[in-house]
Amino acid sequence: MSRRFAPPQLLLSLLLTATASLSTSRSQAEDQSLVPPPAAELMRPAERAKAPQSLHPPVILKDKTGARVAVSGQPLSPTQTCGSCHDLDFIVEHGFHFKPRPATESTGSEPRPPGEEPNPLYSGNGEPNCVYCHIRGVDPERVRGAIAEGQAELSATVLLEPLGFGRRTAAGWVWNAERFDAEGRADANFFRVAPPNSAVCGSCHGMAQPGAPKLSDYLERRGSTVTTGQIFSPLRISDSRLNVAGREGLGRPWDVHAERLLECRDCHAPPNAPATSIPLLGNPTLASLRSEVRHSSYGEFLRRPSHDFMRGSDHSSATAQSSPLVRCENCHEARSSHHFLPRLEQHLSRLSCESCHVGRVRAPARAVDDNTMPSALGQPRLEYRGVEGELTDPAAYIGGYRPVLLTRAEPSGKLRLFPSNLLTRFYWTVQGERGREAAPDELLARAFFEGGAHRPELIAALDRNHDGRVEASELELDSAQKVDTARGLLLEAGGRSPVIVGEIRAYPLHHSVAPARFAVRDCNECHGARSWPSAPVELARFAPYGVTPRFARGDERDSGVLLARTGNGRILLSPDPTALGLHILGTSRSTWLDFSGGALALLVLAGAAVHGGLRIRAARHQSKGAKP
Amino acid sequence: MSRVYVYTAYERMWHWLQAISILLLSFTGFEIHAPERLHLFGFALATRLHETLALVTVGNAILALFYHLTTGAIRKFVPARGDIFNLAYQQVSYYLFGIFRNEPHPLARGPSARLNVLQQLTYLAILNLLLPVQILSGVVLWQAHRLERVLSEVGGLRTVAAIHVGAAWLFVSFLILHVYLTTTGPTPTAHLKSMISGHEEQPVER
Repeated sequence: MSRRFAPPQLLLSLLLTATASLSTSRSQAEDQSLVPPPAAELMRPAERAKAPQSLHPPVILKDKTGARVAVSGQPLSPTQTCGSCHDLDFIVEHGFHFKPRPATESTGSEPRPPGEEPNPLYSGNGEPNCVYCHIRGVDPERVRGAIAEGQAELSATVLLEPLGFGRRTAAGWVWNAERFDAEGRADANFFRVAPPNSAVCGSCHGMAQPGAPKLSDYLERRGSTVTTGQIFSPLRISDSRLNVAGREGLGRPWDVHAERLLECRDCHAPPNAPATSIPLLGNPTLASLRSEVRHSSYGEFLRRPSHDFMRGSDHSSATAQSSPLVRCENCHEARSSHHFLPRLEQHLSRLSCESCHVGRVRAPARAVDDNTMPSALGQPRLEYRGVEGELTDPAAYIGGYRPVLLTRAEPSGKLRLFPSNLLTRFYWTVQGERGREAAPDELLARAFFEGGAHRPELIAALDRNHDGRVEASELELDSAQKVDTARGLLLEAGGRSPVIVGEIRAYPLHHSVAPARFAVRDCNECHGARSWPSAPVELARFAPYGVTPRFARGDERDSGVLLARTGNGRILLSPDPTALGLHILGTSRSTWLDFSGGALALLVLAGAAVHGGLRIRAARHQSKGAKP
Repeated sequence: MSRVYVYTAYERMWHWLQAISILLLSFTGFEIHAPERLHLFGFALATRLHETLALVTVGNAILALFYHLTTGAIRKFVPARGDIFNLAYQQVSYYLFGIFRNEPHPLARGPSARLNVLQQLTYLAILNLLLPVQILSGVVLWQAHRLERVLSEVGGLRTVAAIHVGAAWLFVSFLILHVYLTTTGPTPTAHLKSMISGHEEQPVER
């Protein structure tokens, strides 16, 4: 029997085919490695898809008398509705969102105008507004509208209008019976009870929605996006519609935690939730424990969920000091991933994680809020850092900014550097019944405006180009005469001893965290003559005449800065790390010591050179004398 | 001229290791101190090198101390009593005047007499004062996060860093002077060669 072999051509074609498929798969594999991972929004359930029903049992909506709203037609009462199962007294008692905040307090949100502002989460008839946070699909802006129209009792009810539960009419609120069953229970397909998502938190605290951030959001939104520029979004900066400098190279999410599908509540969790691990970091009496291991039962938690959510370490609010702190160290172990860093322990003990992992902020932040001379529309003069152009211009160039590194005391008492944006406010204060207080808007309006325009005395004082009106660029009290004119008008309007105050408030950054490869890695950023911690910062392009701002009460621990006012009213701030007990290698130096040491070394070198030169000369003389 | 064995192998090894370490410590230290003025290793590598070299220097110094104590070689660093000022005066006169007149060196060098009194005093100060101060201040800077109580007693990191930098400048000045003074032998390279080979050419006394 003769063996049959495949013809050579067949073997050759098989070999070529195998080679081609191998190279294709290899190139495909290589191509696969170059393909970035799918964007976070692709991993979320599509909004268009029907959302799964909540685990929450159907809810009977009740009014303040306890009657079913489907029957009574009265506004919704969260106390009667949610209070049937949940201990609202406990929730309000253990919820800083339901406490009134003084006007001078900073909570990380936009600085509020003088005086208190109604709290959308606790207004109306003194009830917590559970609907605002816990019902999906509501429109938070409707609450502010209702409050502004003096209908605070509808705070919870109006939120349900987009879900088709009713509408506001001239006669008042009208419920939609189709959204209720025969027993008055709300249709669970629309009344979806759920933990709050980031978009809800962002309605007050800043941009935290999955959609693309827009500059117009700065004009509409409050919160930490305005005061710091931080954005909690999973989208890549390079994919955004903002004109960010170097956008092409910024293939990183606005915030890496948002990209990893974390919600605000994942970190800012209720401290008594069974799944929450409360860290005991820095607690000197419990140094052997990493976290609190005692937890409420699920039933107890559902009945009495604490709303004193875990917060960052920066807040000065007395109301927040009862809540545990949440820090990066709760989840991240820096020591296992920062071996590249020399003197790791020193870095970790002096620098917050945010210092390197927030670094440069790629969005604008408010720098100045000058209400000493409002515009004809009653608006203060605003300055933003990190942007060239108006916020209303979508093409405004966003260069971003480098926040200031300021020390903040941690619970253990140690000082660490945190990146912060400094917002400087200038405003009039008057002597009030309770002491010196910010001048109310109505006093400013009475003093400065007449018939919807600035008073003639002000126009005469401020109108530099003599066009008969005060333009935005002229709203600057840059001389003693202008200040005196404004002061005189305030006195005439009834203000007692009006004085301009300049107040600096530091807003620390904890979000807009960059992925590791975008973190600050260049040692020269901090170690060198142009060190970041000691780099001067322009606080304000212009400050009213004779006013040098000071840090607000509660921020005095961020002292160790030098404030300087230039001749044209520019305010510069120069941090002084040495005054804070920080010694930064390569930056903190003693000029006289270096000068003296260098002079000594040069002197020795010069002496050696002269001595050596004389020896050479002497040797030559001696050798000439020795020659016959 | 005769060849005299003046430096043992260990002494030479110790000397050159110390010299290279201190030289590199100076460069890396300067780069850490003023990174915008010197770019040799990069700040991070300069820091790591500086710490490593410091450990080498300390280890070398400890072993050398052990050697000198156990062999009695430490005696050559101790000036003879009673003659210090005279010998110092003679040595200074030699450097200021005699060296230009080709006068003989006041010290008759040999295996047991290798250091003039100025050298003895200088090395005593450096090895027993400057080097320990430099090492201690460096350790405090290195472990500042663990030694906060110590730091608070001595005026903080600012003070310790100033001591460390000041001592570094003194070391640099000494280095310049030391290298220059090695050229004051019978020939400019005589002392250098002897520190390499261990032998020194000395005139034979008739």
